[in-house]
Amino acid sequence: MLFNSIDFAVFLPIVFLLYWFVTHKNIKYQNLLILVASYVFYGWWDWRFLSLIAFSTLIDFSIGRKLEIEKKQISRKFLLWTSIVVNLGFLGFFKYYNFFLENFITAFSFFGYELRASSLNIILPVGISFYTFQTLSYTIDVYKGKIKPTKDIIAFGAFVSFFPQLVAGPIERATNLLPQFYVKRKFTYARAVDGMRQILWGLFKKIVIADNCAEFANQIFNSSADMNSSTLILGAIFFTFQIYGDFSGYSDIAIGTARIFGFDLMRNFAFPYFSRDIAEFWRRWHISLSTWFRDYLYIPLGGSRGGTWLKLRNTFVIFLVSGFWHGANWTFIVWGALNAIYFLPLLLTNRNRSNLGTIGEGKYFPSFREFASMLTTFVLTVFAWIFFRAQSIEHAFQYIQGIFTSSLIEMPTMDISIQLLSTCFFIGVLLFIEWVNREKEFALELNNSNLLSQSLKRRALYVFLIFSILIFGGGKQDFIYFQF
Amino acid sequence: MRRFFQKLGLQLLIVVFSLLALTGVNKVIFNWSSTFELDKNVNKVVLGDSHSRYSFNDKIISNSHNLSASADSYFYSYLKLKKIKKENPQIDTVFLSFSQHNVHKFIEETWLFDDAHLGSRLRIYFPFLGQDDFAFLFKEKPKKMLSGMFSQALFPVFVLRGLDSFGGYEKLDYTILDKELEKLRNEGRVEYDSFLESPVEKKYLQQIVNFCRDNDLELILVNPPIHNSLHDKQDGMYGFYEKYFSSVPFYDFSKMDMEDGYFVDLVHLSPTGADYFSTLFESGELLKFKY
Repeated sequence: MLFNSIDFAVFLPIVFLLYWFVTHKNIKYQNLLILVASYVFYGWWDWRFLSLIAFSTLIDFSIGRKLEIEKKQISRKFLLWTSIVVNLGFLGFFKYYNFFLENFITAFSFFGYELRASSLNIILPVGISFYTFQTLSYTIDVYKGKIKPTKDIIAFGAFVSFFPQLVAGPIERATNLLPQFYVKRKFTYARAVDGMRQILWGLFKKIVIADNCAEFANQIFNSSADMNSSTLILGAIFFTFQIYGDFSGYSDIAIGTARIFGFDLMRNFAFPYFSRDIAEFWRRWHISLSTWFRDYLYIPLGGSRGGTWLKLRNTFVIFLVSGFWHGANWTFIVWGALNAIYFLPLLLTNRNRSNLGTIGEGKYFPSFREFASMLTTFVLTVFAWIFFRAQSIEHAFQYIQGIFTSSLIEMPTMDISIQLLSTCFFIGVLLFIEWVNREKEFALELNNSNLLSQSLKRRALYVFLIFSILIFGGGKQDFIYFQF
Repeated sequence: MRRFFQKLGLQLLIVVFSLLALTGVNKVIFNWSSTFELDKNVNKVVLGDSHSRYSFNDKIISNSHNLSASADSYFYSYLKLKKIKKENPQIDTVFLSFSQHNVHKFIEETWLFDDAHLGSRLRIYFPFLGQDDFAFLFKEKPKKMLSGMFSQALFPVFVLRGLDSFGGYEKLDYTILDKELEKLRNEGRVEYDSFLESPVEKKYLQQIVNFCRDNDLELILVNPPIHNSLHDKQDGMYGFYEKYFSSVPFYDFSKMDMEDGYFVDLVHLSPTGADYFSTLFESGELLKFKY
């Protein structure tokens, strides 16, 4: 079920009413409702893959229980590795089997050995990378003693499959989300209104920004060989906003939906395109994945405790793995490596934590220096996205080659249509509202000190956003991150 | 919880009220404006899709106005005709484009119920919709009609463009004939390779026929010239005409002998082609093409 579908518009109020009016007296019933609703939500897409989630849930629940009883370190390690192998095994098979097979065949043929193996027609289960990481975090945290294993299979099942964030995150930690299933949730007006605002803002980002940008980005990337330099640059910029609108829009809808059910999910985006360096960008982009890799990969590898060489190695590992997590294609790996290269100078000069606050804090405008840093970071990011969007490495290089030609000074070859103008206008609206509220949790978080705090202005803004969504919504596209 | 529902309800009411208010304003503008008024000497209008749009140069054909719009199905031609006749009682003749693709089933998926196409048409044609027309579209595409209701709120923008919103004669400045000929050889062309009649287009063509009959309008079906590579692929359309509309006058110019330079592609005339065709049309020389 897609968040931007009529199905979800019907599903959500039904679950909401059942949750707060029918099952509200008993937390067990509420958890059971969430579990059933989550399975319906996922099964709407393909019910066959429900067995995968159910299996992962049972494995990790059982391993958690066993870890509590087991005292021998070797047995505990065995249990931990069983969970890791099973979960990553599923992920590896469904997501990476064909990639490894094809690359093995290519590698062997390079040395003169001809291998014969046919790739499998595997359907990638939606959101497998997200819920796999979520269940893994549970087992690892239980193993490390950060959390007590749960005895409540319904609560655990609801934690693994919680429908707002099941298919595209935020990737929750068991330490944050699971305990919320143990305590009675209370409906609070402020929280519910905030949730609705975040849903509205997420829908705007997805339907108005991402879906419209997608049409131009697809058009340009799909026939990049025929486009001049300035059009190619526009294509990369459109994709930059598409992926942001798409993914952060999804996260906003997920967090907002969870809020109206009384849950707090972790923040996943913190206005990343206002970052002053790449390190800051990565503290603000897909925060739940970055911190997951930090906690479960970077730190166990030694983090930044060792010498320079070790720090470099660990940084590269985390960026490459992060790239590979996005998909079984060399383009993602190069995208990860490129970001690692961007990160390197900051790491080596110990300046990777020099921009911890918000740009232009307490002011309307940034300083010239801040603005220049922000622009540079944005340009670097746009450049890296070309690899992310390209169909292959060759395509990416061909695209970049096309940018660095004399046609750079020519006008873009796109027709000036109403859709193009309105898309540019809405990107402006997005940047304006996000800039004004950049010190808030999300762009539509409004309070008394806010520019848009007055009731009339606020309501006018809601009407504007709703009309924009309904009138200017681009052709419905799947969420990009569903494929990851 | 009550406060939450109250506020949510209030917000929804504001949205619905804004929508209704804008729709009302649009309807008033639509009903009261004379944006669609033609010159008093215009008594002939050309309706249809891109075939007629790029064929009939109304600067050459006297007392005529070409109101054809690209990718307009008969459904929209019917809506347009009602409004134009209302504002221009002097009109006595309607030329309506009638080609194989106009009555082909595939038109329903592309020019009627395709989401993107429907969305763009609703922005222009929403105020034209009567109850039956609305119900017809709503039954087929409820989601799109719902969003179309919001879309049409911007209708005044299109009113400012007046008759241009309805199409009109235009000169095509591209040539892809060779490319299309090659494509035709390799892949064929769906609307000319096999014929499956469209019940919806048939229904709205019948509505146009009825409307013209009831309003003393002479309706003439016209099949504009097409490239000779398609000449012998129109049996479906002829059969359709003979079966259902044989009482309506029909001029079939599709098989006119015209050289390649008169076409920009297989089915659209170049500006030179349109001028050549329109001059012959004006002179009355084409009367021999009556089917």
